[in-house]
Amino acid sequence: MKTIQELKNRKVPIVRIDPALEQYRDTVLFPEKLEKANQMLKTARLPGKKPRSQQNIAASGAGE
Amino acid sequence: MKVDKYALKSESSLTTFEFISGGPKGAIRKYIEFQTTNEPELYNLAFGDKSADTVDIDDLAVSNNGDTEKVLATVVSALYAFFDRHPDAFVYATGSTAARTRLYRMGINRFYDEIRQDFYLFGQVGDDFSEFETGRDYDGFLAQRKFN
Repeated sequence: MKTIQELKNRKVPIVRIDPALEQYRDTVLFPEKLEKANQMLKTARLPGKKPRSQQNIAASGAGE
Repeated sequence: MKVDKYALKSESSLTTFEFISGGPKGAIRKYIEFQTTNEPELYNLAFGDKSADTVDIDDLAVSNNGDTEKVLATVVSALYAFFDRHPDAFVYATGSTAARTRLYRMGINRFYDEIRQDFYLFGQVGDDFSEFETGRDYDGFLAQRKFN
């Protein structure tokens, strides 16, 4: 059985699913922020995403 | 991250979260939203208060409820929950104002040693993103989950 301290320290939290929040699922709560982000993305030079396979190699030490 | 956090609630896709901030100004309902953007698999992190009196959500609100660190830790906690469900996503975050972006940067600096264990983190200056460095000013932040 996990102690309260262990539960508090876990990184991925326990999230209660609340059916009342389903009303927000297809709603944008902060439209101005989304608009701002999309404007930024039009010209942004995004970094390359690290593929999972590469990360596993790095984690195993093969790339070091 | 061994800082107190608020309990999170969400809808079933884990893209919209709610928690209640408690402090001298009473209970304040707060929302965290991971917004789908025009860039595939890139989500925008938005965050703000909901007034008890209206249906409006204010991302410019400064609650001053004396719990900034706990609130930021809760937002990071939601980030972990989001990435657990959406592991291949990029998440972008910037403040509604320059002051709010600085607050986010201070929060990242505060927890950076732990954050870097689990995330690739990039800082944005203008249109460019580079690996995050503590002590630098940024316009925004981009995170990808690490798979160790």
